[in-house]
Amino acid sequence: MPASVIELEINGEPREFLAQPGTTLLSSLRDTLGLTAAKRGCGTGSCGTCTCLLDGEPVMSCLVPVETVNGAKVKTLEGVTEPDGSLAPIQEAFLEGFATQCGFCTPGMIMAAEGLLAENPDPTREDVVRAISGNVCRCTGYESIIRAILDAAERMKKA
Amino acid sequence: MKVHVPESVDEVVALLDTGTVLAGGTHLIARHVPAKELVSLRRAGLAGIERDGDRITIGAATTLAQVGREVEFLHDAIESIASPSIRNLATVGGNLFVPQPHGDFAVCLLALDATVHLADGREVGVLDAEGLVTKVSFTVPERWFYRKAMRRRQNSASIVTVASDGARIALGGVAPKPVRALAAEQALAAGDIEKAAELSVEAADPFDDAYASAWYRRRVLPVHVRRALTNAS
Repeated sequence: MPASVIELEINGEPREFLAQPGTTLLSSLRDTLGLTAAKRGCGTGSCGTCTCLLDGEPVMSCLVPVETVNGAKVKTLEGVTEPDGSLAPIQEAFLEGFATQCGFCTPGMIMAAEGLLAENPDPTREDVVRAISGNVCRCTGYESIIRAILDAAERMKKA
Repeated sequence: MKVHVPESVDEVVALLDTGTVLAGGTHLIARHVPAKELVSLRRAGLAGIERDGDRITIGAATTLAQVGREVEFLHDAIESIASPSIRNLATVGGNLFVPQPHGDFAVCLLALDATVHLADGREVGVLDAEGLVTKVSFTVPERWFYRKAMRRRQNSASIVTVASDGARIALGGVAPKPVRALAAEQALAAGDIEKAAELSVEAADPFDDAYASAWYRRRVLPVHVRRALTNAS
């Protein structure tokens, strides 16, 4: 089968590219577009490190054939950073709270948190735990991640 | 490999013989089910929730997340299924076809005696879903009981799932498919919750998996049926 032309709005910019049939959104981001923040961990939707926002909602991008979401808006961790390259409050909260550890789960954790904070700017600890329940931290550093997300909510309220 | 993205139910139906129906992909893509051609339901116009009095109709491609947001009595049951980033993809129709110990929403639909509407016009029960499901419909129950025993509090498959409207009792996690606990329902109708819990094992045909052994599932089933029906935590 020939490749198809896919158009996505990624981090606010229109992007057009070719995708082989069955290519996942994650593969398109990483291998075609060079946006490597989203990671491939398990490839089966079990680990969450590929989490991106698809039309504003966090999803496992490894499970989405890109042809099925042609025309959608996608946000990755690259789009969280401020346009001038400075860190967003949630990134600062992760950095200052030592919530990254090895860093492999961080892009997915932050995108899951972005999805939560967009919907609920004043989450409880329980809300945060639920929001990241699909994201595995292989360093098991969940406490610092939960604290960083709660801290980010405070920072965003002040901003 | 080819991925079709048809834009109407008629177009999906015309493609049914050529490929495997793909809804949210949380099972199909994750398990690499061999399929030369996939027929995506994402643009087929099958998503949405309609209310007519206390009757609720949910399109097959509606995400579990949307059901959790909009159908209040099902909120806790939906939250017991996987994680937000899976529920934003996984669909109502897809949940009817995932193997146990997944498919907790199908257990709810079974307890609600939901009608499954097929593309060929037939209306069947939850356990008879086949071909292309277009929507499910049910009446909001006066009472609702739901409990899912898991290895941890979030994002884990079922050890035992119990859903009931106070008359019907549906079980998940304890048989190859969701099952009605008919003997238990009779005891419940007679007002004997202890007896209902005890008789629930008659419906069980449990299996071993990574989450729990068949022995354990059978052993704890009555406990969870009793706790579900008494709203015990």
